[in-house]
Amino acid sequence: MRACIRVSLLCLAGLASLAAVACHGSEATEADTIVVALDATPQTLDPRFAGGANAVHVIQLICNALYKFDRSGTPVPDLARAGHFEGPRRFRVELREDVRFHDGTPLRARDVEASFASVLDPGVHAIAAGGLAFLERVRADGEFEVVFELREPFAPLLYKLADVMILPAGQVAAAGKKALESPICAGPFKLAAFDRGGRILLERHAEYFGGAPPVSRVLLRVLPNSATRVLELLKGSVHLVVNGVPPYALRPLEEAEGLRVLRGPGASTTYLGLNLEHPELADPRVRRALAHAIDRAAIVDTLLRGRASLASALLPPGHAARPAFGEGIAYDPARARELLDAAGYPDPAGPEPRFRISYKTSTDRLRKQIGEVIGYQLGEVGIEMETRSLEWGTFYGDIQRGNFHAYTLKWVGLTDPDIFHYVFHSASIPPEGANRGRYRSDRVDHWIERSRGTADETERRGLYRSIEKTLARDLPYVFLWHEDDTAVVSKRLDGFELEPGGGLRALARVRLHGAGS
Amino acid sequence: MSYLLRRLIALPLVLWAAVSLVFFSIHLIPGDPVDMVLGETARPADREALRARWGLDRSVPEQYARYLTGLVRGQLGESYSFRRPVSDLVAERYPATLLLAGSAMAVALLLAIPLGALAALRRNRPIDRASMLVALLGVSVPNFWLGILLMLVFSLWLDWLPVSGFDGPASVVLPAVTLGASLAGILTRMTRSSLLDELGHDYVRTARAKGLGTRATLFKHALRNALIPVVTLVGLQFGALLAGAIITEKVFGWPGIGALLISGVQARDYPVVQGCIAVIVTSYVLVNLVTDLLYSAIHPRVRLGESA
Repeated sequence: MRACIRVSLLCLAGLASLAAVACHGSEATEADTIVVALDATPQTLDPRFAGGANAVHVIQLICNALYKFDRSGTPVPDLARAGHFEGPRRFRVELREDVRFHDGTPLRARDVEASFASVLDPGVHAIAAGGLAFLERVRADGEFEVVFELREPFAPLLYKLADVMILPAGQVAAAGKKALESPICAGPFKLAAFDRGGRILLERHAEYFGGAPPVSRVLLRVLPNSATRVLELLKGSVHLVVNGVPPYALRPLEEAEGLRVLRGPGASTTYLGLNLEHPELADPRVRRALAHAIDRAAIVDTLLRGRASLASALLPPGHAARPAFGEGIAYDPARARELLDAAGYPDPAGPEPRFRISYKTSTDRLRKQIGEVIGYQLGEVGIEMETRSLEWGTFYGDIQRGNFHAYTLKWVGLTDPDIFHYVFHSASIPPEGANRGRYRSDRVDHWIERSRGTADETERRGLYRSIEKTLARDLPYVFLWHEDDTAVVSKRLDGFELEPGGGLRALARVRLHGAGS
Repeated sequence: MSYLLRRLIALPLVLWAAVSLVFFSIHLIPGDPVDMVLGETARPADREALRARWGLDRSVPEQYARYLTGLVRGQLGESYSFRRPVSDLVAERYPATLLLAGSAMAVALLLAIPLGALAALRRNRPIDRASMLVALLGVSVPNFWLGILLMLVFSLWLDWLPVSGFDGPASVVLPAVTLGASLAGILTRMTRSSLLDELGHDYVRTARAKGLGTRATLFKHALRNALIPVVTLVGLQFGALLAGAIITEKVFGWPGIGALLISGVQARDYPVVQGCIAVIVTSYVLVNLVTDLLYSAIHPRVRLGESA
């Protein structure tokens, strides 16, 4: 027994030491610190390699690009003071002269040149590189001017420039092809700690060119479980969650003391993707029948608790390039049956369906429920749909390879109208892009290419309208809805505004009441 | 000593079998790591260059040989998605998982041994039935649900403990209880049945007949023998604790290796998945070895490697 006690004491001592080692570096939340919960850990905060929504939102607090997007999705200058085309293939950017990086060094044109060179370096494998294939060369011209030379005229240039964060040239050179552990940028906050285990601590950048943020620190905590995020909000130990609370949990939070729920139009589009190489789905009448058979309003009202608007186009409401289309194809099961009959798929007598399709979705509970409801609704018009819920990597691999009949996904952060090229151009069939349904239309291809080449804003909008109209007729996607952005905010947090896409940049302007008390 | 040596020699074989299984199974499941990292916008040339850099352009047997060679040299490779050495990622997170699993084990033992002993001593009385009901609940209640219930009661209503996170000793309590509850239930039942068995043996009756008190009989003789199967179970259940830790880590936002493993699987980050599994398997085998060594500490008549 004495041996048993000795072993127990040793174990307890071991645990205590382990606790000391494991908790080393964790910090109690200080009074003047805004705590934000994220649903996943950003794998890296190096802007060249970061891809997930959480990483992008955190990086936007630390770094700036030459351009950023306003609320209508239009690019506006950020580190740039102004920019203008000097011919169809040359664009000159003038930089702000009052910008300092977190280490105190001033922004110069060579930093911009180095940042773009690094992203374009084939050995670096930066995520943004694929979207910058139109760039021939980027060069500094003096201390505060940068010239972008293009391989071909490329009208959506400013949208692409908003994707590349500017780092100091020295840091880029030192990092080479390796990911930066602690990126230095020029944003409103600087990275103080990133333990990758779930805590990112940002500190105010006092010399931020847009004005130093009122709060000293922002602590971003990774809480993968939505119930945990809700409990932390209710306890008051988390001040902000953006797009991280499921619809069913929002109502109790609206009634909770000390919290408010903000809601605004999002920058996302949820769609039903269809494989146009599938024998039945290749017929546009069948695709239209599917669109008529789905009662989107019922799904929005019940599963999404009314927190979405019905979609009729890819670009979300409020986007400057979006045409006015109303709410899309109406729910009309009788019309759906007529179209299926006309397409040569009559309803056979008995339990047999007109035809069978499978539907793939992720393991997310809400997405699975949506699939089940759509399956039921399609069953009402005689289409049997089998719902298959797959782990993300498998699901993504399947839809890329065209191994699907139908699936739902959501495009998020829709700002760049050049997404039409990525999603619907016939040259963008995977692995060359995201035209997963294998949609081919010469007219749409032509309009997309023309929209890239013309600098005339009015003409471009007209082309985008034509593209959306054709898509609404051909239905390579059934556009379902645009989910609203929601934020649950502590009433102690003053001045937080939702930005389309769920970004966190407003944290640079908010104040925390009761801080220091 | 020969027993210890044999076990130590077996360790690399077990590790080899486990990492080989993981290596081939992760290469079989659909999903391309290059797509996961670069997305669909990447140019084909960039895609191929990255594939070559990671060695994914080689045949699977060749990749396997390279992986094993690296492992022998103690190199777990570089994460595709984190773009950092896997050994660094594991070293950052494994202490948190060990702390959680160790604390859960401590909670389980501290609850199970007294409760099981009490149940055996008060057999068929209300306290025995209450203990068995608690043990049954511990085994039956899913730990993600228990975790949220504990948060609600102890963090939100009573405000005694933090809801989640990793901020000092107080933050360990709820995750440890959540993870340890199931093991506590199993160990309580095992302690009770093992002790009842021991209490029926002749040597206990002899001890009592010689005038030894109840406490001395229990603690000096019966409980010591009753703990041998409990210790065996503790060693075997350590692997279950590490597996259960993945869910508990998610519920409590605990920065452990479980969350890393999940993100590795989702991103098809082969080096991360293989590295995490290698570390978990090594821990499991070592804990079982320590368990065997503990036998002799608890019961000197048990001699390792000798047949009865």
